[in-house]
Amino acid sequence: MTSIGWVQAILFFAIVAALTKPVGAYMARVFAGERTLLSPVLRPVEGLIYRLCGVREDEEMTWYVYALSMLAFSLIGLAYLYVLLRTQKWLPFNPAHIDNMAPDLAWNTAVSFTTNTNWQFYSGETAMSYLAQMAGLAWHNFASAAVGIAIAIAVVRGLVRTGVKTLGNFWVDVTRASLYVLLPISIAAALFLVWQGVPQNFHAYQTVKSLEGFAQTITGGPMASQEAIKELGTNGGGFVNANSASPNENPTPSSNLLELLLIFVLGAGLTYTYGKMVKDTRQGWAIFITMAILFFAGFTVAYWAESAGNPIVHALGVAGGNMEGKECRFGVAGSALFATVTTDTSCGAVNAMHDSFMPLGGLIPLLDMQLGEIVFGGVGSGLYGMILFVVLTVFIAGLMVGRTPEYLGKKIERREVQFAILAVLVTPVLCLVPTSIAAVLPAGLATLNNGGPHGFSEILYAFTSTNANNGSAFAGLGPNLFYNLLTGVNMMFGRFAVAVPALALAGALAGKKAVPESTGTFSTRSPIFVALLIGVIVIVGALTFLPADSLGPIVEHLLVNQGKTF
Amino acid sequence: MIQADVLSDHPNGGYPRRAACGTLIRVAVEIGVIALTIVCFVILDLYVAGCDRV
Repeated sequence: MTSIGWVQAILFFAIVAALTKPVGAYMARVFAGERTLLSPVLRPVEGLIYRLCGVREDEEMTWYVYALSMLAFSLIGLAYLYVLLRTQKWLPFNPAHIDNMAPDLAWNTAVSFTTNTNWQFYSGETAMSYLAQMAGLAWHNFASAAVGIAIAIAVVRGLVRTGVKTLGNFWVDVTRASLYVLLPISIAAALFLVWQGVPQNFHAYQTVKSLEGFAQTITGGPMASQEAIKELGTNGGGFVNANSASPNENPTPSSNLLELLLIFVLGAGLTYTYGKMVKDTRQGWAIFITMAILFFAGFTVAYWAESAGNPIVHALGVAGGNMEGKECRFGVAGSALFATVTTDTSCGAVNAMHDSFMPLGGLIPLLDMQLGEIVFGGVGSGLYGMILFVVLTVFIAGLMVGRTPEYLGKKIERREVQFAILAVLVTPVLCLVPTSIAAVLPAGLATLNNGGPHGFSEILYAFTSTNANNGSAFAGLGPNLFYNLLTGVNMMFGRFAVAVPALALAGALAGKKAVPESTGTFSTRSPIFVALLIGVIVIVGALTFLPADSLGPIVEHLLVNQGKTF
Repeated sequence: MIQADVLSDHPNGGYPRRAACGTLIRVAVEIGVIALTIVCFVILDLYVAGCDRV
């Protein structure tokens, strides 16, 4: 590890921390329907959308209607993208004459982008027309991120409101998230990326003669506009296969820093929005600090593991950190930082190949996802995922002192804990069960490129990533009908089977009356609470996966030290 | 000589059996993924209803 590597991480996080309050305060105003700087321009557009869609802005929804609206919106979006991918050959903006996608792959991709996962069993430059990239994938990048933010805001409303059954209006929340939050930041970020050299055109691919004398095809397309929302919406689906490791998608140190910031900024900002909405910003900061501690813990281990390098390579007389699968321009620190950030959230964009990380370096992205991506998290899903852990933590704290647990004045009783437990259990079930099935079936092993514990890690990573709606891959695992269908189902339930109980929990809490804080109330903004919350996350979240992780990266780490590789 | 994968009774002189199978499989997968989507969303709707009854 080097001091300059640490400076990169600390500088990055300092900017995130500085942006948290202004971004969070802005989002709090947006979702309260208050006037913002952009209102003079966007308010007429917002009103027009409601009129065209027949949405009544003041109509409130119960959690049940909110959840069904979310499912209906997602189903229509999925069908739209599927049809687009199956017909792209006959549609405009296809200068590379790319064929229609096969049905199982189109379905997998449609589910993937609908659920904010962006798992890609294809290479963008050879499988997607420009129209599919823009009108299909980029549209879903906005829509799925807006849905995540809307659910988080609805869940927070459930904590704030008392004695009511409603959580807001899904259509209004999605519209405001897209219009006031995602669009303006994306436009500014896309322009910055164009300035840095990211292509934004409709040209056909260029074939040029390289300095070495061979022909090389250079991809173009509307890349910058997609790159911005790819990171901001924590979507992660690359325009090209190499994702942010490609010099086209991520050409400079400045573009790399911006992409990292875009991934974290809304998740971090939402913690402050949360504090503003519950009228106690210290509640939001307690969650922010918890996330920050988990982030630095993960980064430290990943950076240390990659810096330590590969003992097998060292035995050949080559010193230094592990540079396999990394861009020289990003190096060990920049790659470890990006890997941690992209898996703390549900982004999944990569600037290095996680498959080539050292076993313990690769364990960190895996663990980040297994925790449920609650470290700033996916836009929205990170916050409501963390609130589920908060509910569990206050419940456990209540059991310790023998008193009915409370959170923000609301009593946490059997029903609320049932919803929290249901949501938290979905992740391990949807990750470990398909992994075990794939590890024994011939179809699950047919497209595996590596054997031993590394091969197992590739299967485990695939189902962890799809279930957590991350979308990054450990590579080495090819697509087939079995994986297209199983990961597709996994993505769908990984998204909605967690969001639904989170909304149900919010609906249950909204109907409760708040009791005033007393001397016996366990403070949820104290350092003790932060420590307890981290303990619950690690014990409930991480230890569930320890046996599976032991069979994969941990065993591989021990074997690499004995000179064995896979 | 008629190739094993060409249907001899086709009015146009036959077509590759493998291609025909490919099309059939493609249609089957197409119908399958649509059915799978419907099944998944029905299950999710029931899941919502189930949570409402807790």
